[in-house]
Amino acid sequence: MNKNSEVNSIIQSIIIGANFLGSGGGGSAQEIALMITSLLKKYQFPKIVNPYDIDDKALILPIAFMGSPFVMREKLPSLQGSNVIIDCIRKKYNNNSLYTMAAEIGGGNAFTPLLYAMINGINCIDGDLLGRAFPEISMITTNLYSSLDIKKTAFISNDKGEFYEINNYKSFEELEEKARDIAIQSGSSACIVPHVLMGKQMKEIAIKKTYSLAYDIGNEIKKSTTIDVLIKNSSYNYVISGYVSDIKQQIIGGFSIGEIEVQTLKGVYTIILKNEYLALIHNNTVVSLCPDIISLLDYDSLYAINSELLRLGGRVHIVTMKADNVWYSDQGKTITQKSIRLILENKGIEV
Amino acid sequence: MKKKYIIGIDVGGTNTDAVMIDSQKNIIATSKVSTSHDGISGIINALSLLKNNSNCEIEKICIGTTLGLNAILQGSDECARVGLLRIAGHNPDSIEPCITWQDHNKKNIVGYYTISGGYECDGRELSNLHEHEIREAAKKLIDKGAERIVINSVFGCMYRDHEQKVSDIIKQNFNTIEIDCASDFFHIGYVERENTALINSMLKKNFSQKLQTIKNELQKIVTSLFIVDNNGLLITIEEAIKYPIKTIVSGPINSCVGGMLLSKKSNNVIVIDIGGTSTDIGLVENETIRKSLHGVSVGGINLAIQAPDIITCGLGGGSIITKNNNNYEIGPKSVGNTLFENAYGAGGLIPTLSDVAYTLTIFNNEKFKKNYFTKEDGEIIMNKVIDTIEMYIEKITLKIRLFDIVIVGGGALLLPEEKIKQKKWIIPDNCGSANAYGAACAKRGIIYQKIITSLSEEDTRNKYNDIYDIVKKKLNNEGFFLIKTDIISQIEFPYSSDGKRFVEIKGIAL
Repeated sequence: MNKNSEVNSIIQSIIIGANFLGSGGGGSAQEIALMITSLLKKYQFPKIVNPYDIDDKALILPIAFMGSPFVMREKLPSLQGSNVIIDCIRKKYNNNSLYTMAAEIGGGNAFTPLLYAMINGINCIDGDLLGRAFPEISMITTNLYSSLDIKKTAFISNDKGEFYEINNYKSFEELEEKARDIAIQSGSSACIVPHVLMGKQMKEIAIKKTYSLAYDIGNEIKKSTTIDVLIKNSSYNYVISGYVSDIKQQIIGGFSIGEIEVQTLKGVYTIILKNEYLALIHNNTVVSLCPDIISLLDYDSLYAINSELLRLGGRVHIVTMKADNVWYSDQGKTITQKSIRLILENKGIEV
Repeated sequence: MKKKYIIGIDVGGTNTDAVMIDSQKNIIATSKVSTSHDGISGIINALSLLKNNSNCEIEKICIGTTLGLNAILQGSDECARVGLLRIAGHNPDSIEPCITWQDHNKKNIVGYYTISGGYECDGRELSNLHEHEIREAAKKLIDKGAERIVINSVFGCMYRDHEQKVSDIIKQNFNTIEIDCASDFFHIGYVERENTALINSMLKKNFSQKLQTIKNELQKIVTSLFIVDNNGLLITIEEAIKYPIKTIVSGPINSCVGGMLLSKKSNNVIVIDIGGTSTDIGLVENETIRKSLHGVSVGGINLAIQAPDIITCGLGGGSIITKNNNNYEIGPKSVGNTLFENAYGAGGLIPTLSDVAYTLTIFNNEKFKKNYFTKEDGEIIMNKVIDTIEMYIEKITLKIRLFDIVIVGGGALLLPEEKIKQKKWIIPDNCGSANAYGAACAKRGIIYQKIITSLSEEDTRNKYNDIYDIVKKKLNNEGFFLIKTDIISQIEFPYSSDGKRFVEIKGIAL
């Protein structure tokens, strides 16, 4: 295999795996992967490095695109413009030992740190701050480590090469509000670093080896000819197969909220959606609940299907998987289950 | 009074099929000839064979063709050489044009430049247009040999002014160059819109010329001349000449709808079109073919066209049969259109599915003279063929019992009649002409796309009604009075302050 086709095969596996970890959300990875293919003509694919090998004093940039997927499809990012974020942070901290890292491994943003690593000739950490995709910016591991002295300064840049700092935000809700204003001003597409991390902090709070995980999942899905082959691996929990019999979906307050019904031989399974698939219900009882990753796989290709691509009659397998352990602590559950518990309570379903 | 007839023609890569039907959709005559390189003499031949049989008046001729699709797939040398101008003031360097294209198509794109201008999603300008920059870029593209220039503006799908201005400036300065605006294709998605405009522009040389010749010749015979589009509707040949890309996926739509109508069963059928090399399986629900989730991708190029949901498998009359540990495998390799030279029964060396059918005395042809298989083996293989077809039917829907299953295409006649009857599958008469029949039965339709702004529900309703009126008037002017209108899609643009939305309305003459 020549080098480029090897890289393409790795990218393909990460796309499939990142979409799986997206738990129905996170935006499709296909578009950003196209950017990588385009950049490969000029730049080297970055190394994805083991987080434990990183110097404690290195500077880590968890990075993501924010804005509407709709805008990104139309206004293709200008990397030379938004790359000002890397230069300015490098200068501000006067640190040349620089790495990018994913803020969110689930979905399209798995590729954002790879893009910036490529054009800057630096490397990317094998890890992220979610281990999947979540609907709200507060659902980030940083929120679990309030005792650590992580400086709450966020950085944002846009295609025009403009650069913003949001200093000393008190909560992630406050950050979300301020960042959204800037993003809208920038044409609803911007690049964000919610905070930087020192190597030492990263080793504590990052969910490690999530690129490797995405790659492995993608590889297995590619190799598996049927669902039976795939679920022999014990990390997946196969629930049932069926076809999509109803989709209710609405945009409320910037979130895609709704329910998906899957008709199976054992009756209807309902999936509750808030950007991501957050709960799986059968006979009014909870089968699986976030932080579990809930994925709907295409019946034949076994590729995970994003919620916006579902259609009536489509045949799917329902598969769940445990997320990273850190989310199963009491505090982890409080943070990640806040909104889903509210939705379930309103339906009279006991958790 | 003379009886009036409709003629449907399917111009494929190898053969041109034609059928003549009466006003009750009964088939009066069929013909089959080789497709000619010029596009027209094959059609004339097919027509003269048809008309031999009757003294009649032709009401209209409907043509379905895969020539446009083939030109892209094969990277025809006869495509126009196209230059691209991206109106994108933020300089999007993350995806260069034609990134997924193969070389045989890419060679037609002479180069591209990014110039100032374009819009944000909320309608603000990304930057101003600069006339000298536009002139310079256009000149460079023309110097590189561009015969046409495609211009594509960021959010051009919502705000068209910049494309219009750039087009005007280029036309004023260079009077020989032809301009195509990507905003003619309403679609959110810069890359797909660009691909679609580029391919359309490429096809406007040779393919559009072929259509023009067809128009010139056939208008001597008939005044109503239509082409089947990607929605299975009839569009005027003038529209097809302007937007040739609108015809490229009509092939499977024609054979599925044709199969449904030939079977005279219900409006809900699964159509299995068995050709020489491959089998297409599609699903027709309420006379409309089911569309796929994804857009059309041709030779790795994603286009802003919705594709019919077709499953294709490597099973056909020319499929090569191989033996593997006592198991017979069927295809996916095929002898294709060399069946009568290479098939074992016809004196060649290769056992094919046609040989199996010959052994089982289902298929008879004077060129076939010897048996490769024993009767037992023949039956084993034929059972496997049936199983394979069943597996694909299950793939396309879970609700099989709601559908009749219709088999068409030349390969349909290789299947054992008794088994087909047992399964209650239907092989209609004239199953080899399903494609041309589908074209003959297609309805005249107009798809009207518009961006409207509206701030209240009443306003929206009024604007929709205006569009319905426009569509009806257009069809009325052509002499149609019974018209059904439908909303195909409506997409609200996020972030627009004036309630901008894209609406797509279909009017069909019944």
